[in-house]
Amino acid sequence: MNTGDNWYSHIEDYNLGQLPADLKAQFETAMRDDEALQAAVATHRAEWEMQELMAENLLRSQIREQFETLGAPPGEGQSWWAKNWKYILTAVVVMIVVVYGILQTSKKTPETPAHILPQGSPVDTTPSVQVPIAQTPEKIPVEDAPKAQDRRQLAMSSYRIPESLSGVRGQADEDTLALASKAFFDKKYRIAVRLLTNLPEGETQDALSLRAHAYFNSGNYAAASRDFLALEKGGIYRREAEWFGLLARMAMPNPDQKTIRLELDKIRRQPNHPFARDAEKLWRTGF
Amino acid sequence: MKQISYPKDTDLVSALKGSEIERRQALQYFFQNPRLMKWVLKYVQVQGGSEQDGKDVFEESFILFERQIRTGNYRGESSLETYFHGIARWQWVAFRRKKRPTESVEMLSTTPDEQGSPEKILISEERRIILSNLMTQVGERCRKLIGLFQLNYSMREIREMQGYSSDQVAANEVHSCREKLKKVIQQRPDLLEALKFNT
Repeated sequence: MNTGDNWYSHIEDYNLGQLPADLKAQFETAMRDDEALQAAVATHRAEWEMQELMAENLLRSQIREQFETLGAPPGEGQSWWAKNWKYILTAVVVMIVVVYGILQTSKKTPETPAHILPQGSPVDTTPSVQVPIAQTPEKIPVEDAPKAQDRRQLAMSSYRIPESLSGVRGQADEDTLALASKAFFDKKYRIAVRLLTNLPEGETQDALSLRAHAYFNSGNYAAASRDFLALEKGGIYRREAEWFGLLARMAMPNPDQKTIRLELDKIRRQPNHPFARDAEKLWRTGF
Repeated sequence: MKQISYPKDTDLVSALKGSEIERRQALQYFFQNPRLMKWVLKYVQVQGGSEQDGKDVFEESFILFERQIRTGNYRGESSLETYFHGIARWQWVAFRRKKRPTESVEMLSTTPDEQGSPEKILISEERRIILSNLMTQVGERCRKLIGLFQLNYSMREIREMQGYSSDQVAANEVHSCREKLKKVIQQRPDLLEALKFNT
């Protein structure tokens, strides 16, 4: 029979259901008479379960990543872009031709706009949320359109939803961030962006990261790039932001290719960088 | 794509407890092997669920399966495949109960744990809600670090993933986060009391 302090060494085994039946019965009898032991068991269990919930969040993101890349049968579980790129490409080409035709006919506006968003527009109130995805390519200069398409597709094919995003899961149901996270994983990216127009206090980094990815996935690369740049300044998403920010800038019309190549080279040369391998892969495409 | 195979169950168990790369390959194996992920999707659909239900059930099943392996609750008394199928069947029943609590769902004779009750390893919904409230107080960085620690990632892996300068720095960070977690729990005796009645 165990006495006194000995029971404390059995707490973990008890909570994991690993005590033999007879010892378990003795342990429960001891617990009934010992409030301190009872409290220690409850505390240990709460601590272990919270740790498990945090581990679950990481596993969930890995599983979802696999569903997106490997496990889904053809046409299922793929991203919206992957499913619809042919239609989008056709629509973009038609639109470019129409816009080019209108410009040539009217000859009122000889130049197309050079960029999508005005520089320095405030991040939190950006009106780009309202911009339909299909409008973006209209603003690409016609000569550059095919190259821009290639770059964008290259950026999109290098993009994977990072596991860190699942870290925002598991909070209170009514929490703005939790709602935005749900919208994101339901592929309702614009709703996620709208929910995060104002970043919730105390979860700024999480929210900013989620919003940046939501912008990216909704095709608003300029806004995504701005959010990633803010994350690159510091914090736990710094390294992720370096990589995803690069992809966002790559997908934008008229990117500074030289700067992007320098950034890409920098990432791939850091063996400890979590995206070094992805960067190397992208580098080998000759971008 | 490279086909991954584990000739013996013990190889898969080792991979699930191994390095980050080995774990990811083990997860990939679940997606590649038609008797694992695809089996769950098919099983759920045959039982009247949707494809998304199947994915959700697979997710929950894999999480529980991984935990059973990691905590040593699988003792090799049945094959891993049979064991996983048992967990998935059980999770499907739990999923239906959760989705439609009023619907009568047949009781299953097999539970996730063939060697005993799974209750200690499962975290009930009520407890999840209470604990999730506490978790928000730990902070995002610590949530990730503790998650990695709980999954038995080595300090070297945590250092590489988080960009710390040394293994020791990673260990210190994990330690301070776990201390923070303990404090958060101790500061809320009311919630701890509530947890006693939500097993």
